[in-house]
Amino acid sequence: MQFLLANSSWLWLLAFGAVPVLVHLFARSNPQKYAFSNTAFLQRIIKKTARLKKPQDWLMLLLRTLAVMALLFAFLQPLLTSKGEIETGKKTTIFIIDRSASMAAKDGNTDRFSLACQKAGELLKSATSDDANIIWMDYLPEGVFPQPGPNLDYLRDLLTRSEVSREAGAPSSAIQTAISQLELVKGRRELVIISDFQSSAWQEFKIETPKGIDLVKVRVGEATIENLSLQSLFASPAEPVIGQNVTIIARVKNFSATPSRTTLFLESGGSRQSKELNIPAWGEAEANFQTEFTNAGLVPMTARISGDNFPGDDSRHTIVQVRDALQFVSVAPADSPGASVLGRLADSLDWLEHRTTASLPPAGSCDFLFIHDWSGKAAPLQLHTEAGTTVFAKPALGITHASLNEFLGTKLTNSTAKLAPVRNETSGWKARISTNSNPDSPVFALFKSGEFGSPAAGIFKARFALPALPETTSYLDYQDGTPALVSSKSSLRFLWNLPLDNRETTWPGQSAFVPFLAELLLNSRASGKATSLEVLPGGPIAWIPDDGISPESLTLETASETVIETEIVMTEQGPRLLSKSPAKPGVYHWKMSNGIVHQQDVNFPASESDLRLSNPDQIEGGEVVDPASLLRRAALGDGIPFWHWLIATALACLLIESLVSLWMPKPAPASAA
Amino acid sequence: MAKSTYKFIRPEDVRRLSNYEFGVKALVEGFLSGRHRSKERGASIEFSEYRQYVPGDDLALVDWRVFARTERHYLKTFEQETNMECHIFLDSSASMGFQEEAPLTKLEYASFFAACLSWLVISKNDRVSLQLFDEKIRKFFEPGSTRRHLHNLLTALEHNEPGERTSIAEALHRAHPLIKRKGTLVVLSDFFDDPEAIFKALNPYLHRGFRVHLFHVLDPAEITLPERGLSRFIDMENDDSIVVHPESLRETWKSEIQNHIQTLRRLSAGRQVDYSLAPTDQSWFHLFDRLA
Repeated sequence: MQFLLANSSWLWLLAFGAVPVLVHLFARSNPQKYAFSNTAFLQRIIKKTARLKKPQDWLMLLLRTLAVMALLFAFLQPLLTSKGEIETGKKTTIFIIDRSASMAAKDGNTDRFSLACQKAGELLKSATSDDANIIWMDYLPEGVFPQPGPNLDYLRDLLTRSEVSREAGAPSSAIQTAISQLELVKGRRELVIISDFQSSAWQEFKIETPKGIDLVKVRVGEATIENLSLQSLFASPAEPVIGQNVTIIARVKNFSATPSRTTLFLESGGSRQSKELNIPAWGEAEANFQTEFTNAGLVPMTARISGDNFPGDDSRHTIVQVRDALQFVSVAPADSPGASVLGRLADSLDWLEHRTTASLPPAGSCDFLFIHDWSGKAAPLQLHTEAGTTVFAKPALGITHASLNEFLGTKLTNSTAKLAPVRNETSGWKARISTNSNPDSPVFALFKSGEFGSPAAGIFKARFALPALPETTSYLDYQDGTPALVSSKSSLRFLWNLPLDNRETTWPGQSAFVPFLAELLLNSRASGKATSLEVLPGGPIAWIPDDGISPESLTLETASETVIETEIVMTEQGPRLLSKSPAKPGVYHWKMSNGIVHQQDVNFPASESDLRLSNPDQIEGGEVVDPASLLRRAALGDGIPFWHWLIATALACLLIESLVSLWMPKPAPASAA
Repeated sequence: MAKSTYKFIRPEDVRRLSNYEFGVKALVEGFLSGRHRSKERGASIEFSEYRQYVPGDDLALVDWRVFARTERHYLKTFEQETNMECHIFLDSSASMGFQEEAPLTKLEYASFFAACLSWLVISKNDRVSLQLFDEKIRKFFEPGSTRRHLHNLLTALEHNEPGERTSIAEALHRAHPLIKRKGTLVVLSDFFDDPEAIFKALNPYLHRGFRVHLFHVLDPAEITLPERGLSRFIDMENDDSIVVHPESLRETWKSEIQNHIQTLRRLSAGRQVDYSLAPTDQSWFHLFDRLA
């Protein structure tokens, strides 16, 4: 038989049990004074009745104290459990405890995770003869034991030592792990999910458990906590070249019903900039910082906002890869005059390297690809554009409308019609900025002042008779309206209808040729193309070092030079270095002989910043239990509440006390005097 | 100069007292031949009895007519009418200052009665004395029957305050040699004292032929205990204290106080002493009925 208090947090109430005793003693020690004519009689009477009165007094005090104590105990909701005596079979409980970053939010003085651990600890304490296990719900949920076990002391101890992670939670994976463990055991089985049921993770979630597994949902956390979150930090372009104007963009989101104001700081290479931001309620604000880089390499950047109720997401990191040159590849015969023109163009630009190949290079190996005699096959080019390479295609003879449709996404009819080459050897054609072009396009920003002349100055003697190309973006066209340079809506595929051979055009000799192509190339780069250096929190920090770097010579360190243990795993691409512990937000350096050879960054999961809670009732499956009544519910499963007996005891004590107080001792017989 | 009004005797009291008689049945010894019969045989027209001559008797009192008929010497005795003396003992101890449910303290109540009694006695040309006592005699006024004497008594009553402890026996014992002639002894007290000791002190008076009246002055709250919660009762005479819940002792107290009254009543009856309970919530005029 076990004695359990469901409201053990109210244990302090028992101190009020001393009240009747104190009242008794205090009232006896200092009652109101009353001048009376003669107390000798009273003394005599009391002497006669003391033998009766004193036990009566003590009995009444005892009854009053018992009544008060019984009432107070009733408030504590005591339960008698029969564990250990009438065991009907072992019960196996698996606790899924949400350890995701949102559980660090504080409702008052206690964070949600601590509360969850406390509740799980109380339940474990009350389940001394059961098997149990804990599954931490974070980025990669895992159980403490491979199977539920009887070592509950270890689990309880673990609960007191555990800390919330700064990772996103994976509820599906955690539940699946728990169910797979429970399916292997017999007897009563219970799955208890203790979480804040964050809206972003649990909305429209459905929990399906096999028959025979009781599901209990316990929500910790009471209300939405207002939060300002630094949601993203990135550079545009993502991989700038030296000297290129770069915009560093930071976005801050306000997860509250009231507008907010904050200061955003950007730290990069020892420099620090700041901007004030006004963020509307449930809205987002963006801060742009203009900068340029003088050296190639990896540049870590950190943005911060002023602290708020939930500090985990108040900083964010990014690593910008600054390139020394962009790769421009011409696919053409070795003696192609057009490729030669582009080679000369690259020679005049420091940040551009050009080479000519006879066949398509591997996807992703260059930034720009110019197909000088495009045969009309769009599919091979798809891989390049997907890898972030900007493709320019100058059609060869025999290209059909169908090829154009496939390449540009346009919708030309008569798909079998072929493009017809036309020449005008006498006067040629003149080209211009397309009348359909976007006047605000950065490609032409340089030419707005007229200082650089027309970007398409010169005479063009050969071209294809292209029809109007709907669903495309026009840059240049001929004066008769024939498209000269158009791109698909994605802007990564350009159809080039301009001759580059000096025998067919005077354009490459014009002063505007180089600046126009430079602007075209820089502004047509895929803005998102970047080698991802970000690692998701909770996962391992991994890197395959370049050839020539010995993996054994590398160490992984945090920005504060704390060494992180790593291990080497062999892969098809070569030896891969992995951190042994899960990644936490911050910047990490791979070092060799104290020199940084590579950097990676880990950021707070943006999805965890929205601290709105969902109602566990709306999540399909299982029973919702209030944290306060969790222990009571567990005990009720096996025990008996006897608070009503205590109330009855209190009433009985009060009744007897009334009877005792009404009963007066008979006066002693009169003295002979 | 005598005052025109006194605290303890009011015009309406005087008017009411004019209808009262005092001691009409009393046998007294006094200086003056008066309206009261005296046990002293003397020259008077009121025949008392015949008794045999004994040597030393005044021969003038021998009734010779009887001698002629019987040849025996008998003396004819007459009852002598004289004035009466009333001795008032007023308990002025601290306990007499108690007042709870009645409009007057016990001392005030007793003082009203003493004042009225004094006026009544003097108005009939009798003599009255007054002893104010607690554990000793604080003031003693010789018997007197003048208006000046009455003024002195009334003024003394007005200035009288509750004093210290009670000792009725001691006061009676000390007053005995001061009272030269027998008369009526009126004791006004709350009698919170040992009854045996009180009556032992009264014995000399009774032996001398005093007519004794005991008026037991009590506040109603002293008969039933006051209605109040747990209290520290402090003795008005000796500052002793005791914590008591009156409710729990009320019945026992009533029983004890009745025992005390019964004891006084029983002892009084055994010695032909008049005992009367005088609750302070009742008029003191009914006490005069005991004195008629």
